[in-house]
Amino acid sequence: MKKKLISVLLTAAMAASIFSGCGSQAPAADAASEAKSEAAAASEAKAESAADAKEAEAPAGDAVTITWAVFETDNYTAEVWQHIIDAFEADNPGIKIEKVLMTGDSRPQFLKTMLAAGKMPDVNVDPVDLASTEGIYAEVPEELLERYEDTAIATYNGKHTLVPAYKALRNQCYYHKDQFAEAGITEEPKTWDEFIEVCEKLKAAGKTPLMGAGASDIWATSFGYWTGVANADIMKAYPNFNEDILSGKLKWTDPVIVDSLNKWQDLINAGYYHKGSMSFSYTQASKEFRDGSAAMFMDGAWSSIGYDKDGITTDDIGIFVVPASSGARSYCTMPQYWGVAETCEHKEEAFKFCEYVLGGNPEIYKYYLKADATYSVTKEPITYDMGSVQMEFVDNYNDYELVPEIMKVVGDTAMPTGFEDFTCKSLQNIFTGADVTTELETWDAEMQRLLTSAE
Amino acid sequence: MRKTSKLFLLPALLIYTFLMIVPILGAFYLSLTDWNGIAAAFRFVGIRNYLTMLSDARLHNAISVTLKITLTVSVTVNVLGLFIACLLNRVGKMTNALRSIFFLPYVISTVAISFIWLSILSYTGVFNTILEMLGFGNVIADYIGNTKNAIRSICIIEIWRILGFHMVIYLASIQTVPEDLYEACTMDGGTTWQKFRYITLPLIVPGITISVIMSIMTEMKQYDIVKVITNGGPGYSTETITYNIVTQAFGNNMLGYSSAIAVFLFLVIAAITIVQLRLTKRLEV
Amino acid sequence: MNEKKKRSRKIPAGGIVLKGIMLLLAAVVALPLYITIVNVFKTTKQISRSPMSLPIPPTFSNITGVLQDPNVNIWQMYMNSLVITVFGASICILVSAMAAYYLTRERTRLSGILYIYFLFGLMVPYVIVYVPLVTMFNKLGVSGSLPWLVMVFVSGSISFSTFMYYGFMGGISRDLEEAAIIDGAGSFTIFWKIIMPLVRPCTTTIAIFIGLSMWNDFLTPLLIGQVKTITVGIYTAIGPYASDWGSVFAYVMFATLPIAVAYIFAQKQFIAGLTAGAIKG
Repeated sequence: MKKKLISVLLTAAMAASIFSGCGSQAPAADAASEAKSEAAAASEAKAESAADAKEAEAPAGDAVTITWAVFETDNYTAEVWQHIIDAFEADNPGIKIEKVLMTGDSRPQFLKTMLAAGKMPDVNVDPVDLASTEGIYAEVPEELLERYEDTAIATYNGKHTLVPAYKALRNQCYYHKDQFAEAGITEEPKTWDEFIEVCEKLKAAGKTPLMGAGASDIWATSFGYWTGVANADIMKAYPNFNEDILSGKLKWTDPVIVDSLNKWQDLINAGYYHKGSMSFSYTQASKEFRDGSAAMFMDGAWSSIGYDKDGITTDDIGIFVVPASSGARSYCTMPQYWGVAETCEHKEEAFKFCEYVLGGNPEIYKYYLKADATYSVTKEPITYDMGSVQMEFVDNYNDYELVPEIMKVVGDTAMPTGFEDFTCKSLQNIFTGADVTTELETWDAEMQRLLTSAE
Repeated sequence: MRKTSKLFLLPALLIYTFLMIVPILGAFYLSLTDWNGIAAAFRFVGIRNYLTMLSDARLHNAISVTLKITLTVSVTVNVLGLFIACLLNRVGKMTNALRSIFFLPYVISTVAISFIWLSILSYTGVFNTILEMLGFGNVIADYIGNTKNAIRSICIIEIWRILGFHMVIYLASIQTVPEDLYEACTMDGGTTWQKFRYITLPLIVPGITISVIMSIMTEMKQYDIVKVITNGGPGYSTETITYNIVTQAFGNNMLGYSSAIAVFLFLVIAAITIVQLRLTKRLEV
Repeated sequence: MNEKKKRSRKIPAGGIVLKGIMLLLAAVVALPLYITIVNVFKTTKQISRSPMSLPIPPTFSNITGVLQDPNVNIWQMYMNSLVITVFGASICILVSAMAAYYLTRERTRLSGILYIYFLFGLMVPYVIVYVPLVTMFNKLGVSGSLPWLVMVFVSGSISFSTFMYYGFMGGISRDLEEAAIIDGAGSFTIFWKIIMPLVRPCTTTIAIFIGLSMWNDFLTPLLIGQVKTITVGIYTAIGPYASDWGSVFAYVMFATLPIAVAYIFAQKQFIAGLTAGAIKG
C-alpha cells in the first residue's frame, strides 16, 4: 500500500511540475523560445557547414526560409501559390518561401495545433481566429500599414497585428436563365414578395427553386440567407449592431432577427429548397446547381470567376441580389488578412513577403486578387479585367450601401471565437425545422458563455 | 517458485504512466482552469466548468446522441455477432472465407469507410440512384441531411464497420469450446438450443465480456465517422460527446471546459465498465 | 416429442438454408466494397449513371489524378503510417507481454493493484489526453517527432494488450516454467523461449488489432504534431474533391489497398493462430 501511495504521489508530482508552468508562463512564449533555440541551433549548424564547404557558392547558404501557411480550393490552386512564390523568389534572392498546406477542415484548428506543437508557420493566410489572443501575431510595421485603406486596418487592444490582404464580396442569387424562361419568369425579383412569386412559379413549373448546402460544411448553410439577407435586415434596423449586442443592449431574440429568420424558414417549409440540400457539401451543392438540379443558388462571389473561366456567360447565368423583406439595400464585404507569427525568426523578411504580394508588386497583387474574385484594400486601388458574370455581380451592388458583416467583423467588436460556428449549427437546426425563437435564445446564452470564458 | 523480476514490468509501466496517466492527471488539472489553449495566463476556477455542464443543452444533446448510438450499435453487433458466429461455426468449409469477408470492413480506416458511405448515402449517391433506376423514385430520402435519418445512418455505418470484429471475437471464443462436450450433450439427447445455452454460452462469457466492453468503449468515443459524414449535423443532431469535446477545445478555445467534459466522459465510461465487470463475474459463477 | 421434431427438422434442411443466409449476409457486407472497387475505374458521370455496373472499358484517370496531385505524396504517407504501425505494435506487444507475465506470475497485492492500474486505460476516452500531451511534448521539445508519436500509440494500446495477455497467460500451466527453472534458465529466457511461443496466438490477435487501430487512427496524428499518415492525408486531399466521386473512390482505394492486401496474407496466420491458440479453454 505504501508503495502505491508513493507512486501516486510521484505521478502527481510529475504532472504538477509539467503543468504548473502553464499558469505563469505562456505556452506560446515557450514555443517561441523553443523555436528560437532550434533556429539558433540550425543557424549554428548552417554556419559550420558553410565553414566546412567554403568552395560552395556563398549566397545559397545564407538563404532565409519563410514558411507560408495557405489553403487550396478550386480557385486557389497549387499553381496559384507556386506562381506567387516563384515571382517573389525571383525578385528576392536570399529569401525562400516554403508552402505549408493547412490540412483538415478547420484552418484555425490547424494553426492552433501547429502553434501548440511549436511549428507555427511564419506567415499565415486567414489568421483572424487567432488574432484576438495577444502574442500570437507580430505587430505590423507602421510604414507597411500606410499602404492600406483606413477601414481595412484591424485593431486588437490598440495593436495592429494583421496585414490587410483583400476584401471579398459575399453572395448573391445565381440563377439559370433557361429555367426562369421555361417557368415564364421574365424579370428578376425586386421585392421579397416578388421573390416568393418567382419561387412559386418555378415550383409550379415542376422545377426545384432553390439549392441549399449543409452536411459537413456547416458554414454553407448560413452562407446563403444569413449572410445575404438577414445581415442586411439587421444592419438596417441597428447600424451599430455588433457593439449593441456585445454590450447587452440588444438580444439575439430581437424581433427583427426573429422575423428575418422566420421568413427564411417559410422558404424551407414551402418546399422551395432542394430536398437533398442538407446532405450536400458545398462542392456538391454548387455542382448540382451547375448541372441544373435547382433554378437558383445563393452562392459566393468566388463562383462568378468559375463561370467566367469555363466560358459560361450572363446569357445563361443571371445574378441578382436577394431582395430583403425589410427593404434593406445593403451588402457586406469580408475583410481578409495575413499575419506574421510572433515566433517567426525573420520577421523583416516575412513582412517583406507580405508587402510584396499584398500591393508591393501590383502585378502579383492583381494576380492574387483575381484568383478568388476579391478586391484590393490598398489606398491605391488595384483593378483587373473581369468576366461578364463577375462584372454583373459587382454592378448589381451599384446603389447599395456597404455595411459590416456581423460574424466577420474583426477587432474589438468581433464576435467571440467559436460563436460563428455555433450559429451555423443553429441555423442548420432552423433549416431542419427547429423553432426560431428557441434557437435564438441559445445564441444569447452561448455568446455570454463564450464572452465570459474569453475574459 | 522463484520471483519474477520487476524489470518485466518497468518498460510498460513507464511508457503507460508517462504518456497516459500523467496526461490524464493533467486533464483533471486543466478541467479546473479556464485556460484557452493559447493565452499565457489562466485562472483556477474550481468546479465552475463542471457546474456549466449542468446547464449546457448542447452537451446534454451530445450525451443523448452518444447513448443512442452506443445502445443501438452495441446491442446489434453483439447479438448479431454472436448469432452469425454460431451459424458460421456450422457452415463447414465456408467458415474461413465468410469470416474474412465479414471482418474486411474492420481493417479499413474509418476515414476511408466514411467516404465510401458518403458516396452511397448522399442524396445524389449510389443508393438513391439505384432506387430511382428500379422505379422507386418516390421513396428517395435524405439520409444525411435529415435529423432523424442522420443518426440512423451513423449507426448503420458503424454496425457495418465493427460487426465482423465482434463476430470474430465470438467465433474465436466458440472455437475454444471442446468438441467432446458437445458430443456428450448430443449423446444425452440435448437440442441445439440446449447445447448453446448450457455449453457454449457459459464457456464464452470471457469472450462476451471483451466484446461488449469493446463495443461500448468504441461507441462512447465515436468521432471519426460523425466528423466526416455529418460534422455533427444537421445542427447538433449527430454531435457525440467526443465531437463536443474536440469542438469546445479547438473550435471555441475552451480547453478548460473541454477537459471537464472529457473527465466526465471518463468517469461515466469507468463506471459502466465496473458495473459490467461485476455483472459478468456474477454470471461466470 | 417436441424436441425431437426440432432436431429432425434442423439438421438436414438447415445446411442449405444456413449457407444461403450466410452468403447473402456476406454479399450485403461486401457490397460497399464492391461499389468502391468498380467505381475507381469509372468517370464520375458513369458512376452517377450506373453505380453498380462493371467498369468496361475501365478508365484510369482517377488513379493517375491522385498520383499526379502535387499536394498528395502517397508514398510519404504510406511510410509514416508504416513506421507508426510496425514500431508501435512491436514495442507495445513486447512491453505488454512482459508486464502481463509479471502480473500473472506474481499474484501479490501490488500486482493486483497494478493490473487494475493498467486496465484503467481501457476506460479512458482518448480525447482526454490530447491537449495535455501536446503541452507536454512542447515543454520537452519533442513535438512532431515520429519516435515520440510512436510511443504515444504504444501507450494508447498497452491497456488492451496487457488485458489480453493477462487473460491468456493466466491460463498457461506453470509446469514448463518450473521445469525450465530446475534446468537453470533465467527469467528472461523463460519468458522469451517458453512463454512467448505459447502465447503466439494471442500475440497474433493483438498484433492485428492494435496494428489496425494504429493504422486507422485519424485524430492522434492529426492533433499531435500534424503527421501526415495515410488517413490524415486522404482526409485532407479529398476535401476539394468531395463531389467528384471518381477521385474520392481512388483516394479510398489508395488508403485501403495496402492494408487489405496485408490482411489477405495475414489472414492465414490469423486463422492458424486462433485455432492453435484454442487451448486456452
